Amino acid sequence: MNRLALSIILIFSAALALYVPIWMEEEEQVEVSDKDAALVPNYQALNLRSKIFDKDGQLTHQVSAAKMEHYDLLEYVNFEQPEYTIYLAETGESWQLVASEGTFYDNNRLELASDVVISSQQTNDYIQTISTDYISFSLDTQELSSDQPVAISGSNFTINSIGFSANLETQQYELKKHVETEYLPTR
Amino acid sequence: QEIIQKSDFEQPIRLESENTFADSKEKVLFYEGNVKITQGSLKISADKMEVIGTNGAGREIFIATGKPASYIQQLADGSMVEARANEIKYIKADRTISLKGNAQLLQNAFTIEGDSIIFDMQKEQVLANTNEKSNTPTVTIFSPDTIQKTKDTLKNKAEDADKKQEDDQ
Repeated sequence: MNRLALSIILIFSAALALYVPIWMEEEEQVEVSDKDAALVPNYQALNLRSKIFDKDGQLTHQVSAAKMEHYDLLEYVNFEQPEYTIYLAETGESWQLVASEGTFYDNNRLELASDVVISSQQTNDYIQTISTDYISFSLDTQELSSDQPVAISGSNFTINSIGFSANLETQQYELKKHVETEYLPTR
Repeated sequence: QEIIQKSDFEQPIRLESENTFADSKEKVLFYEGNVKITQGSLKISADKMEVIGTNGAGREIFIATGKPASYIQQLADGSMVEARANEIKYIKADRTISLKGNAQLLQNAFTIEGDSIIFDMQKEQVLANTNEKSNTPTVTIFSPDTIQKTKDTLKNKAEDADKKQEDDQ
């Protein structure tokens, strides 16, 4: 057996000695309980765009978001930078709701948080925008509500209040803790 | 010479109240509970306020109701004009204050009472309608010279009274 063969055998056995323990090591089985499974998003989407239609084929709302995580078991969707556009069947009007974060659950309730801006897509609406840091919105009833400070503005006025409730379709607003309304002078 | 300082009308209008109801379709806002409106030196206090925005931005009509609702504003010469009524309507674009129901307008020695009084700041006129039936309103020119004349006559009267008192002694 010449020296070459001997050195090959030596190297081979050293490698074996080194790796065998690693291979033998039992692959650690991560036990995932059902509860934890629910907390892991079923699927994620980046730069999502989706349109949702009702049974008569009417576009009810569309949503785009930088990131979306869908949790089947919890019936719960998490958004980053969501941008919702709501189309009101009765009036044919539409409103846009944007925020930094959003969650959509029970297939009907939308909660938006931080830098929430709701803006009418109709130029001659008297009330044009609603800005706050938290909104709860029901797609079924078009009811909007918040318990946070809110600014509701039109072309030459701004209403400040702590919390409010409103209906996007009837366009009626109730402010239980009105703080102040300011009408800007017109030039 | 203006009797109401024009700068008042260039100020923003600030409205405070306990709660508010807005109807964007009807372009109307309702304010309730401790309602206060301020615009420069103009102040209106009332129980309720309705703001009608149908005439467009800057042409709102403010209708204050109370028991009574009250209005106060500083005149250009520094004195104050005050008013009280069941209803005070402030038409911003026309710069008029209309008082209805137990209406009273007071300015120094001047007091005007009637069922309805319209105070036109632009034309510096006060239209006082003492009772509903009489449709000929009494017009009082509420201008600086009339105010001055009233002050003079009051001063003269006071001086005459003093002189008379001295003569009697």
